[in-house]
Amino acid sequence: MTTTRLTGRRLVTGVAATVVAAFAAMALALLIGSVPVDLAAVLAGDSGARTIFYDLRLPRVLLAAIVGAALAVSGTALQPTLRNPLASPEIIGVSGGAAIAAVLALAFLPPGLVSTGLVPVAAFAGAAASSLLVFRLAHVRGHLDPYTQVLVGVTFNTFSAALILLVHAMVDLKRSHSIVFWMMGGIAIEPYPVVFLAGALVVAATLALLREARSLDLLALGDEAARALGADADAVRRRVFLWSSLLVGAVVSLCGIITFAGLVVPHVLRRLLGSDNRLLLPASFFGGAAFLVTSDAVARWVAAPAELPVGAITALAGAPFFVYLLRRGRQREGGLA
Amino acid sequence: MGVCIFFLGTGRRLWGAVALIAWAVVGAGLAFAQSAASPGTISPENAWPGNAWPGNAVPARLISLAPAITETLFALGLGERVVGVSSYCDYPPAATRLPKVGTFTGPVAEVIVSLRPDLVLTSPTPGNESAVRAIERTGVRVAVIRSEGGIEQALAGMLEVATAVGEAAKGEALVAVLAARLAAVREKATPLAHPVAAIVVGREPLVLAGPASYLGELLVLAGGVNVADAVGGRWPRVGLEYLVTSAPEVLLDLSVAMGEATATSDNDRVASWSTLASVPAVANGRVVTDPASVMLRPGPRLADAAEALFAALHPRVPQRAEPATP
Repeated sequence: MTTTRLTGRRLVTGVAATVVAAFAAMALALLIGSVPVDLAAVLAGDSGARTIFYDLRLPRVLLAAIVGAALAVSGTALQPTLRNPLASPEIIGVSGGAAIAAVLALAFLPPGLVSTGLVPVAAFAGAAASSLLVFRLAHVRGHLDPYTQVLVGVTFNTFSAALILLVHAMVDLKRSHSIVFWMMGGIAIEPYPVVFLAGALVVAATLALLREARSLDLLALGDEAARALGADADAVRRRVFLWSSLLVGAVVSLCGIITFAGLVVPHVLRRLLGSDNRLLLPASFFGGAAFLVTSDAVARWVAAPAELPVGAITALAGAPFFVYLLRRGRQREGGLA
Repeated sequence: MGVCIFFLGTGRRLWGAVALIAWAVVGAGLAFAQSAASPGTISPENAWPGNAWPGNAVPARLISLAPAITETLFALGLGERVVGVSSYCDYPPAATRLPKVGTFTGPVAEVIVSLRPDLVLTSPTPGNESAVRAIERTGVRVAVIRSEGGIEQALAGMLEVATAVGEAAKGEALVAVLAARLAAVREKATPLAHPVAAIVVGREPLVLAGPASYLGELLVLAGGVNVADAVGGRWPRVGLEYLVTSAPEVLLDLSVAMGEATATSDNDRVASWSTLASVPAVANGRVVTDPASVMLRPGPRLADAAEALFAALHPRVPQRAEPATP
């Protein structure tokens, strides 16, 4: 972990590198698919090629970028807020609440209603309810306590997993398959208004979190020191929690639970770029986008025309790389070995 | 209101209120964007084809995403018009040589659209919804066939398929032949003794064909008493103890056809029940499998399934002499 001061030059090069990575990943992902698409034909106005490129491939690549950005940014903001290196969007309880609501909708709604786009809305409402619940339960003597928050979030997720198992065992075979499919998660081809709404939300929440970047750095010094330097730890935590929950809630309700991107991307970038959140937050936005776009492209391409669950790719590719970076860093510092 | 007070009770009313409003706005936006972007694409009202293919032209290039639909198209004599099927569509043999466009649960939109179909026929399956919606947004016509349920729904589904491709008369003829063959099985079975039977659809977990499924209805039609009647539903999951205590005289194991290929052959599959010697079906050698997966397709082979079930339930009664295909 570097302790070098953040200069304007480092900020620009760091962010620029991740921007390049994100756009390279998107360009690559747009070229990969279950059928070959001739870019010249797309530009020349061939209707078949244009349909596949603009209606089927582009919205999926854009959504993957948005989801990856959201997961990585919320992970980056949550790790210092909760003072926990394992903090990730999955553990604050939001995804558990979204999952319960989605599973209840899949299990008990009349069949005609299940396929009318109500499930993501239910999931979003569930995410809202669970984040407010965790938010409320994590207050100890009027303060939002990070340790309580982590424990309540983890406990809530375990509780919701148990509830989901229970519901899953109660419903018939077909509905239980729907539940399994939802739980696996994945990037779907959503209509453009949904993609743009999700994109606008993720950009807005990222900008809001960017305003907290300096305070997040100060939290690393401890609550008392942070307060002495002008950052109200409680207020910062509340705002970060609100925006992160919004990010995760929107993403989970559209794509189900995609693990690991929110944990591993922040850590990798922190090792590469240092821990200054003014650099780390925008870098996570583009780095997360690059990571998930690439993972989704691999998921579409490896077994084409069959598609693999993107969550399997993120964890399979991310875990070994993360452990490698971790050990390399520690050995250099003399911590391990 | 009580919930609001609970959330806002810590004296953080402002933040609680901001959070609630933000969530509500985004949730409403999400709901609006979803409904605006896909104007009721797969709602039951308009996705059901219901009426004939518009105009005089019939769709020439068909893609089927479900085995029962593929079998129906071929039974209607329209195999020539099918240009793509799901990888689960394994009957008739001609269907297996067609381009594969993804699985039953995961159709691949890019492959389907690249085949330039006039009409895509599909059933609602877990996991295929977003791909089907995306296909529809490209302007390709999609017919969603909701044939899930009992025999009536399966027959109605075949009619829907025929109507959607502009061959309603052929569909009515096909359904009439199937209905007559089913009635013949029922007539033959009615005077016979009805053995207690179990149809095992999955072993891990143990899933039975319930009374509300077409298999449950076929079992009754073919002269059997379903052990799953007491549980109800379409595909109930039960414990092994339930199966043993309900003492089926005939046991149909369809789990190989469902893809649970832990045993290599049908003989192995039958042998795998031998540990449950107290079950009459096991003791008397009346465990039956379905190697041709006739049973698991609510399509034109429905009458074949009824006749196979009759043979399993009443092995000593002479079987039907007429040819077995419509």
